[in-house]
Amino acid sequence: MSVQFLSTYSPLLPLILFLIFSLKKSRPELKVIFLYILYAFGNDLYTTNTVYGRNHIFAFLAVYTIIEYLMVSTFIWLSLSGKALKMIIVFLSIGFVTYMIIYMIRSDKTKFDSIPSSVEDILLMMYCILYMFEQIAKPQIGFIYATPNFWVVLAFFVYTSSTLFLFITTSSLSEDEQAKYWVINQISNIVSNILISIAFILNPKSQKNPDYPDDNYLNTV
Amino acid sequence: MIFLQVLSESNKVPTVLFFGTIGMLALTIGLIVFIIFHQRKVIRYQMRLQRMEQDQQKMLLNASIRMQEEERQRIAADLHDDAGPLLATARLYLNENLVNLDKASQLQSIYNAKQIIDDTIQLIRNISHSLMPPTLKNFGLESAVNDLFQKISGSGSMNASSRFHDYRERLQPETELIIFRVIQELVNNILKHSNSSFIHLTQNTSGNKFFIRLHHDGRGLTQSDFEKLNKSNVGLGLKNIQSRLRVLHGKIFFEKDMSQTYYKVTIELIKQEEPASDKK
Repeated sequence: MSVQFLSTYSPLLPLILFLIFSLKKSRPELKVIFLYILYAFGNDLYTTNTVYGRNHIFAFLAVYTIIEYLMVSTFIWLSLSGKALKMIIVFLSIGFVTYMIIYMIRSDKTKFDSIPSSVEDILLMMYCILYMFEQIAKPQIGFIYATPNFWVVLAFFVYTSSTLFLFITTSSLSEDEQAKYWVINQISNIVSNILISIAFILNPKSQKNPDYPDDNYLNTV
Repeated sequence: MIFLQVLSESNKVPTVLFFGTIGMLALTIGLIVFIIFHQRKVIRYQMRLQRMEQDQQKMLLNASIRMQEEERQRIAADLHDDAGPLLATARLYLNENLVNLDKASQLQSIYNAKQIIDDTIQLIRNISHSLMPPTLKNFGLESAVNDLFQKISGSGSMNASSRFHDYRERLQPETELIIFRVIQELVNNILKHSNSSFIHLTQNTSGNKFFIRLHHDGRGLTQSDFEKLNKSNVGLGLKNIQSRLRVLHGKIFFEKDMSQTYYKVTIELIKQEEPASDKK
């Protein structure tokens, strides 16, 4: 069972867990992540098994970049409560989407979209840090890791930080090197899907006492 | 194998990729760990503060309940020990045998019974006044405090005086009652424990703040003594004072005067905007 196979089919774990644990009880932002994972799974299946050429995949990945960015930033926008932070996401998103549209029209679609992917990674990392900052700044009784949103943000934080340098340097690598180092993306994908699975199991309504979260709650899960 | 290839000089891009990825991951994990531990520390501290606040509330509530029970027992004792025997004696004078006595004896019995009933009425009036002084309700805090201090001076035990410098408009009746009870409690403590020869009360206002200061020359408390007693199981009266002042969002300070000759208790309250409807 290769890493690529595991990476392609790892989204099944959070998808199934969402349908079992969180379908009826989850908040809107988790539903957005469910749809994102569904889309990512479909995208991975298509790009792995497509009979069309490499060039076609890169064009497809450019579309994936923009949709991935919109869905993840929507999740973080819904998770934030501060209006100022939400406005930052809105303005940066308008800028990024405009850039992506121009890029898709003018770029060479036979190459991996290194710069947009790197910019997307940096923006998503920034949003994750904004979320973490807001969580520690606002007074609350619950531990941060007792909320599903934290685990989703952690998943994207780990994914974007692991793949940032990969995306920056991909265009400088040969095809063989790209194929070799793409394992970093695959492993990051697997780890992020595992973390999102934890989020889907960890629905706050299933905790015994949501006001006073049990530090050992994850052990019982 | 990847590690060795990455380190080879000819592979600068893979080197950047490898170390960059490791560095980013390390930073990410470090940041997450820091955030988690920081938040745990903050939450534990908040919960500890909450627990301490709850313990303090419980202690104040218990003190309040005990005070109430003691007050009830005192009233019950006064009624049982004083009013009860008096009324029983009056009843003895007015029993059925009265009709068998001669007129002079009948008149004497009725007169004695009337005297006893008068004494009982006075006793019950005193009990009632100690529960709720009519002077406070009808004439206000200044008059009630002056009345109280005059009674203390009149008893000969010490020289007690009071002076209200700025009390043109009365406070709300509930506020006046609470302040009066606090003053009563402080004065009782001074009488019981301090062995002082004088006690002087002054009232001032400054901006929107209302001050009452009590000076006495006996053994007193400092602020640290007050806080220590408040946290312990003793000092029921002081806990009662604190819980009453809490209702008014007021503060109390215990200190020894700069000249070290007398003790001072300062009560500070925020003046309410709407004065009482009936003025002095």
